[in-house]
Amino acid sequence: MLTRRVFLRGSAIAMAGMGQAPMWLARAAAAEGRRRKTLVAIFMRGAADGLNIVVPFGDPRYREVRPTLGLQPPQPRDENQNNGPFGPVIDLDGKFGLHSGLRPFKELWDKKQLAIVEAAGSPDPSRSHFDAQDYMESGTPGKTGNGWLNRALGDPAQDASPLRAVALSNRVPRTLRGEHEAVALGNVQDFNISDQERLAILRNMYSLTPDATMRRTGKDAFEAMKMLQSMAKDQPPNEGGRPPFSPGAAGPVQNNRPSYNAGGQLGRNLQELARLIKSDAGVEAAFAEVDGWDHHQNENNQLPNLLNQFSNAIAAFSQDLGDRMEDVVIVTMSEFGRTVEENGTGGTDHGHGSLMMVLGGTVEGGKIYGEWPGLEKEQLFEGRDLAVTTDFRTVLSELVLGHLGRNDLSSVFPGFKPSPLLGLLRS
Amino acid sequence: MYRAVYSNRQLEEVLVDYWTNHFNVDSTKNVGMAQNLGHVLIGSYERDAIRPHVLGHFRDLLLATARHPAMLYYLDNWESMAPESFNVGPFAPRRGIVNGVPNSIIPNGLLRLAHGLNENYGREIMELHTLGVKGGYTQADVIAVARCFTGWTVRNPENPEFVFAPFMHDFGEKTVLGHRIPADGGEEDGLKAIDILAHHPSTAKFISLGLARHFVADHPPEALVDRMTQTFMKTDGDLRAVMETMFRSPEFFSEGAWEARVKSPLEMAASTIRAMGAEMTDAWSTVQRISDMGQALYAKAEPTGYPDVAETWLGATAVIARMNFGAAVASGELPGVSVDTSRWQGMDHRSIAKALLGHDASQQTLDAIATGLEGRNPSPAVVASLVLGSPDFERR
Repeated sequence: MLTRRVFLRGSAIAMAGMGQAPMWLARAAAAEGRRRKTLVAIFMRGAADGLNIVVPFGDPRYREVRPTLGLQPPQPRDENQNNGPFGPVIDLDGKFGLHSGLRPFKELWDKKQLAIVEAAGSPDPSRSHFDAQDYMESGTPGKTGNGWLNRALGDPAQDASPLRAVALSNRVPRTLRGEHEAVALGNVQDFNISDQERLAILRNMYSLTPDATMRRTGKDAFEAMKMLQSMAKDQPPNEGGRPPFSPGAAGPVQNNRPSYNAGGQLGRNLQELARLIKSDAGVEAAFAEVDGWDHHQNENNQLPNLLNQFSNAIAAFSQDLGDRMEDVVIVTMSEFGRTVEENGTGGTDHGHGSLMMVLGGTVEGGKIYGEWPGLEKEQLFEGRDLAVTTDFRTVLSELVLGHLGRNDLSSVFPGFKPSPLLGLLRS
Repeated sequence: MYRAVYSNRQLEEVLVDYWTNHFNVDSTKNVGMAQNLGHVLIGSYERDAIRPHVLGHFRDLLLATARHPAMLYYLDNWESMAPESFNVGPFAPRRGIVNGVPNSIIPNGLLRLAHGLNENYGREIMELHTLGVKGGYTQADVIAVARCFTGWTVRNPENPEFVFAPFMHDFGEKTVLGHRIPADGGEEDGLKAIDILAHHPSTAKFISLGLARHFVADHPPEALVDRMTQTFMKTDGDLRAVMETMFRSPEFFSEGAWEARVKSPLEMAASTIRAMGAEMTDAWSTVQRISDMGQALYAKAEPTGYPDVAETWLGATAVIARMNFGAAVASGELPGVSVDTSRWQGMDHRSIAKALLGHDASQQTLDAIATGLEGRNPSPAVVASLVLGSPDFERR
């Protein structure tokens, strides 16, 4: 039976494609249930140095293992001063502190929307970026396969959106590859074929082609394009009269508020994602990535700006979504951490344990989770790296269960039994 | 870019592109105070380190990349040194930055930071350049290889040339993959490591697999990779011989290998411009478009280079960008690229498609064009824009 929902969705999109979608119809389609819970995974490629991101300044070994890279402990007198990304650590709980490049996260921490899981990572010992990223994205340490976030989607509802799974990148990353359709949106502002005749012929061509890969690729691309255009018609133009779904213009950062513009490529990507979420595009799983964390040398001159961009992008996203953050959880991860001891060139080499951050309106934040394994030689993994005390799948399991509402993890993380959940989400 | 379009030696261009990605460097990486150095070095890297060796012996290619400043900077080997160097010679804290001769080797800004080993190159030369990640090395081998290469550095940013700096070298004994490298070796330690790695059976297999993937299929037949591996071992890593084994194989001409590969954005752009017989007077816009299609040239941050498989290039926005690129070239709207389609005036869509593809287009593609343009008298440019955006043109 053709339900009202299916009718509304089908006709809204078809008519929008011909430029005739009445506003009420598109809005009705949206109101009919495209508001969804969204899980956003952000991958820090290159192995981020957890020890200098959320700093264990309370561990007496910290300054010894980081004689030149070690960051200054919090200075009580500058508690509320913004010292820029090169200042002392920002105190969180008397033992751990944020790198000063992460200042935009302080407010989220104070609002209890940011949780940090220390010493999280993969049980697999690989120190290869390539393998470790593949294992983590697959959710199967030591093995590769389709992505955990794709498996976490479960069967689509009848009215599932073509933008149900979205990667804000040029290609669909392994995290989102698998049975369910996923769309890679890189450069959204040029995502358009303006000549309607050429568009129609190409769409027809890709739907007919015997080349199965190209047929699927074409279908995903044309459907996503059509949907974005139909949504753009309904949206008021952005500040400054720019059309919706176009990149933000650079502007001054005001009142120390976090800003997408200060967030680099991630900022642009999350701005697009926020627009999709706010216009009820039905996004359930989203992926974004930031590279450049492989700091073998000169780390203290590179990490501050990278963290400043990273935290501006995410905090601006949270600010932009406002109350809608109740529907959104962000989780960050990196393939492994870096050596506890700094190396000989003002950097750190490939290590093991790192950390994860979880942000959102329903997050039980303002707390450091996970057991701190310590930095004494005998406490380290293979005598050199931070040990992993929380399997990354334990963190992800909780979000798949509690946020996406799946009740069976066996297909998402096959063969994995999560340790007791950490209680990252408010019940 | 110009060579990719115009060279008469297309195999060489394909190989240069392939090996530049295999030995990836990111020309946008900032090396301390030496901003933009990567952009200065990338041309020489491709021309002097990669191009002369793509049909030579693998060992020579590996050595040329190991010694090139672009690689020495990118994977940090230039400042990796024996830990005790910090207290001797120019790195002794009290010596500071003076006009002593050895000091000119390291740019001043990093002097206070560099004081010991950096594992980056030691690991990636094994994982990515030679053995492959499952090639049988350990963390101890990573450290040993990194120690072998200490002192392989760059004179300075103003004269970026290879130099061996003895005071940075770790002269102790090392064991690399079971081979003992005795103490007091000097620059030769690195050469010995290169020889061990270049002739290792895991390298023979890893290099053969990569080439077969690039030229035959994303998942090439094992028997073909095995034969190429044998050739590699028998010929001391002669890449021309390995390529010949591949080109003469039945698998290379098999049905499954025919257009099994999706073009990279660079291949897409070069093949579009070549097929159109277009003239490129300025590469800027084309390079921008290639970046929009997902391949920022010479700017891949990770040492892995771009994954050499189809899904790397087939994101939704990237696929539309590919279709739009063909249309922009065909209609003459891409700055720096001019076209003349008058030679196709009066030809039907089937003939124009054949001229562009080098073979007949699929019936489905021809049908879609015929139906869509029915009753019209389309210009050759309109037909070409559709053929260049078709699934048929996506593969090679």
